[in-house]
Amino acid sequence: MVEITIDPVTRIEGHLNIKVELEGNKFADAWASHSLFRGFEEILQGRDPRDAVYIASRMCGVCYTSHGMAAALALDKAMRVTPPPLGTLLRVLTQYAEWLYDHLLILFALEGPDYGPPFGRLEEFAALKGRGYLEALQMSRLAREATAIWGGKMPHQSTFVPGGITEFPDTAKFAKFTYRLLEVKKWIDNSMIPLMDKLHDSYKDEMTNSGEREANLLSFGVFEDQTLDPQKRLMKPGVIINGNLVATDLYGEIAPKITEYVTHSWYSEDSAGDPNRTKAPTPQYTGIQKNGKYSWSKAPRWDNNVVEVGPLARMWATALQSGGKIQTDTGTWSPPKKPDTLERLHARAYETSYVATKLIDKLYELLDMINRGEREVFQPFSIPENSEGMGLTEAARGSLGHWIKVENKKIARYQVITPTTWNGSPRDNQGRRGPIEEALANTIVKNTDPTLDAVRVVRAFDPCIACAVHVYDGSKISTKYLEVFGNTAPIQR
Amino acid sequence: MQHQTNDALSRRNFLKAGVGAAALLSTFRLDETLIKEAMSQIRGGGVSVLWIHGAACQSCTVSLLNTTYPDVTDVLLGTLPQVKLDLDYQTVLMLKWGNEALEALKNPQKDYLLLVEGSIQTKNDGTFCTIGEIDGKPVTMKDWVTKLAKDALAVIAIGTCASYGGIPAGAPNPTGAVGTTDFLGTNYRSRLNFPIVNIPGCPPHPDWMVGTLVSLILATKKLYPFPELDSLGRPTMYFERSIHDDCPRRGLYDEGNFAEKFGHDGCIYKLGCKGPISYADCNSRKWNNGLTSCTISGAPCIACVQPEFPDKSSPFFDALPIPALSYKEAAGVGVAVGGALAGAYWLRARKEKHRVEH
Repeated sequence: MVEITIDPVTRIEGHLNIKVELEGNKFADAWASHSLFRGFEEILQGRDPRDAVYIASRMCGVCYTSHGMAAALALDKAMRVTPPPLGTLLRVLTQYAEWLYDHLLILFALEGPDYGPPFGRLEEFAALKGRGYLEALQMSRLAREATAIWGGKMPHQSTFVPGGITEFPDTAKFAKFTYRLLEVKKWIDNSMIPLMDKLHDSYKDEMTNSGEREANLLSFGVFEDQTLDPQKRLMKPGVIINGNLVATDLYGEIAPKITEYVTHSWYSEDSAGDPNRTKAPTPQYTGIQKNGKYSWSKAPRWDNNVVEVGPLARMWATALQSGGKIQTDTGTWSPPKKPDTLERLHARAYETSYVATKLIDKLYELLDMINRGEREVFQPFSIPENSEGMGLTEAARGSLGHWIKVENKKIARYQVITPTTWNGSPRDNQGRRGPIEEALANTIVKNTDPTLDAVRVVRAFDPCIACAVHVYDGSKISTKYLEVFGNTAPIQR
Repeated sequence: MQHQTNDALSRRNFLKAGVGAAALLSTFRLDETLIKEAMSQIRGGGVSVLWIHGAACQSCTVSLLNTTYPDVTDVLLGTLPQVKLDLDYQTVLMLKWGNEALEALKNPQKDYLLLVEGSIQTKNDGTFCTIGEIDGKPVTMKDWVTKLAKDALAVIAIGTCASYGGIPAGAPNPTGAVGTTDFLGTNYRSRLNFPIVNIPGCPPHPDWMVGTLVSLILATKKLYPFPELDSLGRPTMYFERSIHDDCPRRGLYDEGNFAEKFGHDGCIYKLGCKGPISYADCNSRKWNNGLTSCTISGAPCIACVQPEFPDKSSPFFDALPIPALSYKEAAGVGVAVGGALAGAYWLRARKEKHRVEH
């Protein structure tokens, strides 16, 4: 048995240390350690609640729009304000466009180079050389420009505010947005999907069990329509356990069964207890102890299941609620037998195509709205003395939730659970591995450098460590937590 | 300042002599001149860059990818004649991983520029952020910066966190996060005797990063003077004028036309804009390939380029506690009074330790 440490894991967002035990030609065990802690929730405490929309969205420099969306949804609820339809639509359009930029960057600049020379055989994916890599950088930038049109600037949009958005969609901006979207969509249809199909076909025999784990998946759903009903989102909320869809009701069934553990995280054990506590637990750094504490990430679980989040989970949950498959302008996607490394990449590619396809329809909605005479993008409000709110959405890399509690017009508590807290979690109170650890521990090594097999598995999850690490004590978010934050039923507007 | 030459001085005087739009135009031209000179003068391949991340969100890295003219692939590939950044270490973009990647930090093979993104955490001996292991022991960001700063040709703080602490240093600063100058000391000088260059912004505009890097590459090769910095260590070519000065809504402000809610015409001063006390060329340069900016899009400036961000520039949606001037009051004295008020505001808030002496 050989222990291998990979630190830094590069071509991801953030600081990640991976340890694997190599036995023969198989990874026998794995540990994922997040090695950055900033304490955002503590920094947010005591501030003007409205400021959270700018501070909380800055947790992540890649999926800031989704963090902004989650914060805005939580704040709308807490400020008891409903944005005008145009305000909601512009936020959602920006989030759609974020998907295009984000998936393109991840697939071709971060994950793709592992399949091009000198690591793989596909020339198109070679870093700084391959056609896919070079074109994707351009297209990703163009999509980011699209997000900036209603966003003010990107990264870190400035226009999302509680109560709506600050930007009015004049015709010039509509044209700029549409032009960029169509350019990017053309590339997705003509280049990206064929390239990603090629990658899948080229490696499917070699990487049969790379990153394989059971189909235990979670999606909060994303891209709301005007009803704001989470069940009507484009990508559906849903939990899949052993391949079966077991829950679809976001606020009624899914959110109440979330639990977090800190058994193997660098936080004090006594942080368990009453979720009403406003005091954050004490960080307790011990160094990496494989049998003890070894990560700044906590271990969230759904109804005691280890679940994976991300494009594959979203596509799977959506397909099971839409006749078993998803149709895009470039083809049909249906769920594979089991999640694995190549299926994660493939689902990311097809989701990009699906979102681009649907974004075109969304633009007609904007025209309709303007023609109907909608002009307001923002609804004024005053800060309630005491209130709370929850914003559940998805970032490109998986399910994202923000929770806020306001007391005396100040933030009393801010809590976030991000995609990589789910995917990159350490072991839980029962010693069960997190999804990335599970995926590594099933992988048979095929390359002379076993770390190449490992980083392919890890990168397919698109880890984003900066946002994954938080101080919130919460051994339990469960039903009790939801009582505190209300929202046990779909938000009625 | 000691790194300035007569050339640079005379250029500055020329700029100072210009007024309004003419001055702005010159600023742009200066940029192009710098880049062209870099293109034609540098020979002998790329410059090694070690770009390390502390308490960061990596939006600065993503912002670099937004660069146009030159495009990021031009910068990385050196397709611009001879201007090439060799990212020998860059977590997000580099090809290698694990021990092979770490080797670039452990034993740098070439002379390098050290780029810091994210703040440096000092509490609990810096164990809040580690990069790589040596002899099985994780190495803190703090220790990497200490080690690498010793030999760097120049140290550049990328973004507000690396420059002044930023959001991780926001009250109560749970991890003891500080900016690079606070960490290395105001007396720090690089191997070429350069002070730390700060490129603040959350994130910085890609032009600010690429332009400053180009001028530093030239400076390290002694082909061009070290860029002029303001008292906060920022290149004056990007951070001289206030957001308010260049804002297209400035005319509305002068007329006393203030928006009462978002999405409406009018200056957004009363909705919390901190433009008058923030210094960067966002509104003349514009973001994301010249599309827009925060205040152009109707959002309040939150002073993300200032050392006081976020604590002293918030609440973000409350109007500045300095009076908005009416058109009459502004006429004739507008700029001077505005400047004086902004100065007074920051003076109250500013911590002397942030000042860089050079």
